Amino acid sequence: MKDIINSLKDVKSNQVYHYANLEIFGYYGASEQINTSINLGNNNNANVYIVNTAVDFETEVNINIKCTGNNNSVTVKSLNIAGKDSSITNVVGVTINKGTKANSAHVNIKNFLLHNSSVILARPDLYIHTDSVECSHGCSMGYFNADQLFYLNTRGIKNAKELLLQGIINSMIVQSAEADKHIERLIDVQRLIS
Amino acid sequence: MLRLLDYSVSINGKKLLDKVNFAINPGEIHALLGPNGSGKSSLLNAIMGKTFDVKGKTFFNDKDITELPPDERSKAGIFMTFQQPIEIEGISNMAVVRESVRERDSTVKIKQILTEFKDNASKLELGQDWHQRLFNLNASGGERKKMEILQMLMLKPKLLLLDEIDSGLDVDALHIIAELIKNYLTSDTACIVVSHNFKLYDYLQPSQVHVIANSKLNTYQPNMLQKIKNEGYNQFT
Repeated sequence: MKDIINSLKDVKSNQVYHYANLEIFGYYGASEQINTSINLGNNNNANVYIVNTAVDFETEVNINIKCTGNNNSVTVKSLNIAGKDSSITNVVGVTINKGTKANSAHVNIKNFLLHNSSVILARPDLYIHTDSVECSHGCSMGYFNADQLFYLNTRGIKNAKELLLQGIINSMIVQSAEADKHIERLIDVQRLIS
Repeated sequence: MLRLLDYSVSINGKKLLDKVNFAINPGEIHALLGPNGSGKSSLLNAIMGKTFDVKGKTFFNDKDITELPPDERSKAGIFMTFQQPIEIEGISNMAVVRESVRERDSTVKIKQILTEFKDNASKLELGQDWHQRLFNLNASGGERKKMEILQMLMLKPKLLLLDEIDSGLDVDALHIIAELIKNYLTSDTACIVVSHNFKLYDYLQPSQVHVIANSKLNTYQPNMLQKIKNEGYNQFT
């Protein structure tokens, strides 16, 4: 059975999880200052999905996951989309303690700068203190793919950027039907593009 | 239907076409050939409105479309199939077609688009779930080419620019696609075909053959196809 947590703000930082199957969502489209810690003891599976959208404001969403026990599987997928005059900070930290065994952690952060005036600071931080671990991290910064834009334009689609951006967001939220409930927290695509 | 006047195309300072003139009328099928890198795809892309260094004038149905962006050219009735169709994450095949159709007529009901989509997908022997699948994601080369034809059938263009629509297709898929293109073409439509596969020309029977060589566009009778098949492109250099 899944333990679904609908906001990073709802995570109890003083709790140590054991044998939990966590699905944690952090969908934000307003100015936030979030620093969340998740403490994993033994035998947990934790999937964290973060989407930050910003226009005309600064926001900071950071998460720190600590594996203090064994047999934990951690996946963090984060998407940051910065529109006009916005700033997003998103640091995802995962610490694997010394002496622990059979933990895995995979962190991927995708970032899209939509305007010359937008800024994103994104960083996957992995602190590995043991050899018995499987970890990966990725962080990409992008803009729209010119070939995709041209292709959609040749189909008569003028607002190709909106469609592509919707696709990028969809590719994050289809991870779980539960996530659909929180989409309204995000800034709509038209406003992000404008 | 389409006229190019004193048309030049350069990419990264290299002149691919130098002041060529071209015309295609309704009801005609033209073959466009040339060695690799001669500028066939670039010419089709330029006609579609890609922002190369293009000089000269483009007329479509007697309207000057030289300054029109690609989406306006598409809505005017020009359609290009891509040699390597792109994939898009998070957007379904149906969503792209739905947006394309509704850009032309916003009153069309989604149910109607879906019915027509499924009907065309069936003709192309694409899977029952093709409308739900993400746009060309994890699709084979053949499925991507079929998706190009599906879009053509849905958008009902007047001028087809077919850029190697047959590459990567097995013999059965080529037959399906060629028959659908042949049946689509009428006295009101026109088609420019680029292919290295002479089988497609056998299906479509072009009335004119153009060869790009030395930045020029030379026009020949259909029997030139057999000559190129036998002798290659050295005869043009």
